[in-house]
Amino acid sequence: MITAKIAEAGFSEDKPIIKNIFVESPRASVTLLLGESGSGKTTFLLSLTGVLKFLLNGYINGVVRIDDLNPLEMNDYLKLPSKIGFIMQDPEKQLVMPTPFDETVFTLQMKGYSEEEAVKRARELLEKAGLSNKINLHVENLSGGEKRKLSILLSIIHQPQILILDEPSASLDVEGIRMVREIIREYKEREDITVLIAEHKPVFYADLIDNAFIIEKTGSKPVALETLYKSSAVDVARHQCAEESENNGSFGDLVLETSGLDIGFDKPMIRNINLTVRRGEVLGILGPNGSGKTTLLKTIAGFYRPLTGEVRVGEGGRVFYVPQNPDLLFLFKTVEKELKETSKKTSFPVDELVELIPWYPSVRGFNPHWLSHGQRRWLSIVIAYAYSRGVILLDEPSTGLDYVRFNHLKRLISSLKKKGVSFLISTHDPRVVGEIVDKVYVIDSGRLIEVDKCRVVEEYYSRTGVPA
Amino acid sequence: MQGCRGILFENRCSRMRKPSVSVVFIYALVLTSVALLLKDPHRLLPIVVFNVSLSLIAGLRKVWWLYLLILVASVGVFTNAIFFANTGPVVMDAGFLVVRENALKAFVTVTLRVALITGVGAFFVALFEPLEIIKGFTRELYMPASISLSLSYALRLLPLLRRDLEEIMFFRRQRGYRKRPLSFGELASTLSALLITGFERALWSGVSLELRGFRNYRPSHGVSFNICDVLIITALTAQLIYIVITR
Amino acid sequence: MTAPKSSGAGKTYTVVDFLYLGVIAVVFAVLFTLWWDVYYAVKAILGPVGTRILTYGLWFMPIPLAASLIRKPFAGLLGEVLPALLEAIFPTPGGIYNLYYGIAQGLAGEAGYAVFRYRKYGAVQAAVSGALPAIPALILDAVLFEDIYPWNEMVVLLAALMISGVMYGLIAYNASLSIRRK
Repeated sequence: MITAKIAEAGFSEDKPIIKNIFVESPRASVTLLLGESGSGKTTFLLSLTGVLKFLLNGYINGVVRIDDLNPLEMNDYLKLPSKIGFIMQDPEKQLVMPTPFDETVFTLQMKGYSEEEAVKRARELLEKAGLSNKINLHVENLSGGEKRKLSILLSIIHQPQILILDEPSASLDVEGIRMVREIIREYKEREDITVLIAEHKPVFYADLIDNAFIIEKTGSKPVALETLYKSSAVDVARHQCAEESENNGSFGDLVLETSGLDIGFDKPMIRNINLTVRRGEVLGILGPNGSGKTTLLKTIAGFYRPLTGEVRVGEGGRVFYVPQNPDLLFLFKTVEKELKETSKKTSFPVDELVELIPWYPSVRGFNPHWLSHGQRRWLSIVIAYAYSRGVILLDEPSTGLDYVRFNHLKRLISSLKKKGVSFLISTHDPRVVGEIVDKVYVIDSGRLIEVDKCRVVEEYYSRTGVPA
Repeated sequence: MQGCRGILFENRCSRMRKPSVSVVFIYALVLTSVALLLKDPHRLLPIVVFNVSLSLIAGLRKVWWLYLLILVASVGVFTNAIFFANTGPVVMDAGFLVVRENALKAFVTVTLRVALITGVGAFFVALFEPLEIIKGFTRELYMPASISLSLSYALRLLPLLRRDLEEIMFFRRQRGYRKRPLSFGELASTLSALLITGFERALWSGVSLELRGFRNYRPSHGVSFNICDVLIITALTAQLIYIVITR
Repeated sequence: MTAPKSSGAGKTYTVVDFLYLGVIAVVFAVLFTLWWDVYYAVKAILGPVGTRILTYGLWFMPIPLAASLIRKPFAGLLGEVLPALLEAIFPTPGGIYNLYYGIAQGLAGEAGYAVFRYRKYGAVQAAVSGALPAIPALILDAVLFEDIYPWNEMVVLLAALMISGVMYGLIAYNASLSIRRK
């Protein structure tokens, strides 16, 4: 059972992030916490678990109870780990040890097992998880899916009574979301378990939820389940997909072509890729984590060499790759300098660049690393535009964006499309497929296959287990 | 059976009898300090030979290239000696190059010293994987669990860091700058980017650890000696005695 | 959601601080290894004094960087010792001798912050704590390489190291401003 009554909380006393929160999650129920990015869902979870106070030096004015423990009081705070399981937004960030074996033994020891016991159990667990042949490899040798599976399993290794999930679908692909849904469903069947999910994509969990709240700038409000079901994004997606297919304009001449391209490292990951991209067209590349989407984009951009075949770029066009983590792209101390330097290198007038960024005036003197997630993506795409004016490669651009920020992204891409830019987007997000992309390719058993856009969107939801 | 090396926790690996991490570490530490104090080549030489051989036996493939670097570095040492210590009676006269006794002595001494330090260091590193060493320090030398965490985390991050660095260099090129950040400004921006990315990961790793119960973590302690340890301690004592005797 | 860099109250270390130190350790362990090439390349052009001024400071840099970022006692020391430890446990030319440098330089740099009673973590402190490790560095280099030159030459070398330390200390402080405010 979870109760939270918070007047105010934040990282520093003068800047509260959440206020007027009253959230209750009764025993043996699944509660959903909705809210836009930046509304404070994660801050709420951090306040709730006492982490905001004891680890991050923040402040909380309020009362919080998790079962019979008071997380804001040190003695109880120390007892929390045995009661709660916390599944983070990006489970990969959870892994701190070099090998899965070490990580598992370490986690078990933290839960109180002796080293001998921990070693024994670790072997059993890893075998059950299907990782027994990789237990002593470095964690980075595991596929993305395996890493996430490991993190999630370690979060709940002690069969906690309280399960807290922070934006679980933000960085998960189909398999990942299915796994999380399975876990929640299992938990529902057990008595006495309380589950709290902070999410901005309710569609994946709508059928499992017992009650819901929304967190806004002014405070929290309960949300009626019927409204949740009504605005099921599945239907919306289907509609929109059908609509937009009708508006499919014609595209211009060829700007990028690959023929007989094989990409990969010692072994090819994808063979015989024959892509054509026309001016103003947006291509989507779909596939589970680890299937080679990033490798494909990087090979086209020239980061890696193709194993065979070639990549041909149309006349005067250029290719620019925008990574999933735009932080690595920035080179200068202020947003203004980034744009000025970009303009210098590309002869693209600064004013036009500034025009593309409506929120520029308030952040021009900021360090680009300080911008919000969505803003950093936006800036990186604008820089990409200045350099390429031809084809922009986007790697998972929508991770972590809620619907509002996603719409900003959509608008930016549309406006650039009109200026004649083509995009190659790797994604596993059905919103991108449904609303931004013109043509879709799927990676299947080492081949790239063109598929029908709207079918992909529908299938996506069914594969995660979400009922229609 | 690749599971025996590279492990932090004992993993049914008793078929390979190895000495304790702390014993070998202390061995290497003592001899490193000794290296700094010795000056006479004739005392240094046998010890150097012994330890270099030890290290090559313990792990030839792992460490042979270190000695290659020593060879390269010795050229620098030689030029240094010629320029700064070329005094005393002439030892070799090759026309353009005159080598005097003190220069030669300095060259030999420094090279032997460096070889000894490299040798014992190589021996240590050849015997144990980095993870084993971290675990050994924590368990046997009572290194605090938090420091052990920092180091293990560093090992965990290594491939990610390499990847980030490669990406930064690629993006620099993509934006039309030189690949390697060699000016002060470029260095600072690369460093900031790497650290910001790393710190953000670290923050969430920390939250996860805290909620998994890191504050309750108590590593186990204890040393167990075996025959290999005895051999090493004997070898150390023998070498120390040798040094004293040859005073 | 962005959280500020400070963590934990006052002077106690939290698990996040140790992870930050891990990040610094791995970044500098790698940077140190790569920097040797730069050092030798520059040495061929500029000679011993010029090279030291331009490049040597990097080896002191983790101290003001860690201290400016974490702002707790001994952060600087750990910032130098941990990368050195990493270099000691991997096959690197310096091997265990790196630890000597790490500890000695770390202590010297830490003194730069201790002297201000750990109350200030600004540019001045960064400069001082970048300069101080030059002393143990010079001594350790001299002891190993028998680089014992006459008085005035040693002073020149020390000055070169200190200038470099100050430069890199200021770069570290500068970088910390970008990182911390986030």
